[in-house]
Amino acid sequence: MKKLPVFTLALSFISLMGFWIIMSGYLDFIHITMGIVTVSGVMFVNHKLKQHLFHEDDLADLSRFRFGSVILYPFWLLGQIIVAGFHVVGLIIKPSMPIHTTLITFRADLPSSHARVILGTSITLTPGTLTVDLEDDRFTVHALDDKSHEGITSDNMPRKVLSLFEAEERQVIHDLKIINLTQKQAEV
Amino acid sequence: MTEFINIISILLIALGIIFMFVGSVGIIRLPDFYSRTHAVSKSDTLGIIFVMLGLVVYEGATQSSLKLILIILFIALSNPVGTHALARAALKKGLNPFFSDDQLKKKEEHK
Repeated sequence: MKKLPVFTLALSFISLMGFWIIMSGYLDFIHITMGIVTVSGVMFVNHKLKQHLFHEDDLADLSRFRFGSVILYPFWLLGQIIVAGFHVVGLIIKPSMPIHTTLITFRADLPSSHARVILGTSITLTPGTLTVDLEDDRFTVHALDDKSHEGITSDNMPRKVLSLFEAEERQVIHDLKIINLTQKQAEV
Repeated sequence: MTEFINIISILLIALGIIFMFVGSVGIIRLPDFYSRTHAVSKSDTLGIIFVMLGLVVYEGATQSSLKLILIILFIALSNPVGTHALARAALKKGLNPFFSDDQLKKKEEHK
């Protein structure tokens, strides 16, 4: 169990209220009141669930985020997705189909389990790379060709995820292994 | 001005459809389960994002376009989870990925 700070509760209330207003589209007194009642009910039902610790290093409160980076990150990620998407389309459309499938495994030194999930989801969202397994801090990523996993092996994307939480820059990934033969698969 | 907006939205929607089409071609052409997962999930995510963006541009600054942006957000959040679940289940069941280098090695041994 963990205590939820007021900041986290306020942020989830504001975002749920924004969702309500977008969905209803009315800004008069009666609809806003119904929204406040509904959002309070949802937050009351979910309160126990949000207090539960699923991992030991769950992110305690949202104020640990650095909000400047959080606003910029989706746009940076969208740019990465579009660039990588065109690359993958080029790979598939070429008659010779020059794919070079590999598995890469690495350990990521990130401050919380939420940070690791953000990294894993970002890797999966980017075309050409796919998080196959994520256990503790060990990632297994399937890549379609060498250029696709360049962003991860060069520590570019993990550093961006770290910058969501901490100002200092450091090497995030270590124990990097690139597997491209079935025989080596048995050792992992 | 409306023509300009129409042209941009048509271009975005056409681009999205091209991405989805290439994703479908990828399912047939790629060699194994994992690389096919790339084609079906990623190209489709990008295709849907582009189609929705095209519709947002067509719609302008209204409530409907805010809802469309929310759809983009939810697809972007839920699609990786499903893809990861599929791939992880395959790996836990012991399905070995296909490696291009394996084939090269086999060819060399045959020589």
